[in-house]
Amino acid sequence: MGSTRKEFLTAAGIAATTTAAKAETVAKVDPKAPSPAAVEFANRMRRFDPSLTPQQLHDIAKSNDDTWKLGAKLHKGLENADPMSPSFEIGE
Amino acid sequence: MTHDELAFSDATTLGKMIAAKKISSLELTNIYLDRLARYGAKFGAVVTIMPERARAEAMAADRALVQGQRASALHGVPYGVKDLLAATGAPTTWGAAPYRNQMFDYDATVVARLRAAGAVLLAKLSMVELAGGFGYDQADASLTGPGRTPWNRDYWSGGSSSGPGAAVAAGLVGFAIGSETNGSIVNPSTFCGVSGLRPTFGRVSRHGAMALMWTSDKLGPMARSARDAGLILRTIAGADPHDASAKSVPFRAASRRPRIGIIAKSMDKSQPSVVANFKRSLDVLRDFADVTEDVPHPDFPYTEVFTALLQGECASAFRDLIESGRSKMLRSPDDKIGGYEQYATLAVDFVDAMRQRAKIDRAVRAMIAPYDALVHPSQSTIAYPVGPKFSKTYTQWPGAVDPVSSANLAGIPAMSIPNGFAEHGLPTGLGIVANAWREPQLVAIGLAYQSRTTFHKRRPTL
Repeated sequence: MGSTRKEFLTAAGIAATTTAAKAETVAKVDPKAPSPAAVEFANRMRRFDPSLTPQQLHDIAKSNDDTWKLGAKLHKGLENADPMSPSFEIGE
Repeated sequence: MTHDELAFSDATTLGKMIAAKKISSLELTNIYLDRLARYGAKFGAVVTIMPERARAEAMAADRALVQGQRASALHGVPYGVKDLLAATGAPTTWGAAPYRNQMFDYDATVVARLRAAGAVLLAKLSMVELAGGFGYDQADASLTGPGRTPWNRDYWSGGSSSGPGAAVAAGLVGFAIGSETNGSIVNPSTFCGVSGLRPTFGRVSRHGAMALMWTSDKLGPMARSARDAGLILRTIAGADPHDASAKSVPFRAASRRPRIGIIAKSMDKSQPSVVANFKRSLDVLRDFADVTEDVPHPDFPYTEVFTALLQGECASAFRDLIESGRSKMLRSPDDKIGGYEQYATLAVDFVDAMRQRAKIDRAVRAMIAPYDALVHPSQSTIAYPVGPKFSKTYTQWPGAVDPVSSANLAGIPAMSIPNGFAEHGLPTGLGIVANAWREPQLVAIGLAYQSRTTFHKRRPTL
């Protein structure tokens, strides 16, 4: 797993594939199959429940890929100056 | 008045009858206890009936009245709570098998406030396991099995406050308390044809309630009228030393003719019968309000923001459960693995979601600011059938623009009131949202609507 977000997402197979070379690589992979990083991360959940079935691990892995795609939309429109609020409160 | 007529009366009426000694709280409590025992399981609405506590509270309410002490307008009125609220005398299961025997030795603040108001706790009511935090996709996702709407048992009662919705609709309680993180009051209120009010974030203390998402969990009334919902909310609202997020903010009602906006595109891709009922509702609203069409809903990645925040907070809230491997005890196949899926949430995405949320908050408040409230069909379809996966149902009506996630992210209040019936005898709902702390506007609009319609007074055949 990569140490930066970019490396991490690339490892997960969900970084933008804009080059022909990348597209060619992706074309050889079953598009419905979860990425290797997602599978690896799913398999780690066996330490909490060793009885997780291959189908459950497959479903977790697919979900992991979906979760790792959230960032593309979450960061859209944000600028460095946009603050982070660690909590949520409604003013009066 | 027959037992049936009493059981289906609204809480305000019941409170007045008890005060006038036309019926005692104990008599009414016994009627509801009998109905809970007879019909509760039929609709998957009940986890635990509490006859001893209920009768003791009812007798105390009756004794107080004899001494000339009436604690509130809800004095002596029996009610139920979603089983994520702590109450002494019964387990608090959170709707989930791993917590089947969980006991608390204190009452949640909401329960304590209702007790102080003289109300009578009858039962802990069913809910979707863990309030749906792990991503269920079918009605059968509760310790007590699928919730069923009293209007047609083949269809879901909605979630995650399934039991409160069904119990109020079936006349098993005088009113109920539900909770909402992202739709869990308004959805079952719609599918069960009751009047549900999701308060402003911070209006009601959550002390003693299961945490699912600290920055979005709210507790609110589910009742047989908008009038009841307003009364109950005032009873349970206010600051609480046990919950720093709870505030005492005055209830300020507007005195002018209401200004109501219709959310643009809120009828798109929705079931035709839902749209038809909504259009008829607009005719009623125009009778007492100035109605503006096509109010644009700001464009933000609501689903992604909510998903990142929910997954991060929910995985933290249930980390003990997830890491113990006991998620497999949950009922729904999706819930058995949902906690593990949440572990993939990236911290950077959580932070970005909170930053987006600040923008959403400002944009949503600005959208509503020119109006007293905005309206929309509270759900784009009638209730889902019990059995198939939700994601495989009503695929021809994927839904319109709706403010459920945007309004929950902004922490603003909403209401769903029944506005008609559709296929299979199932109810539809009118959704109303207002700006923060403006619940009185919601109640006033609901009251005006219900004074001109009778949908909220109809009873299902049990």
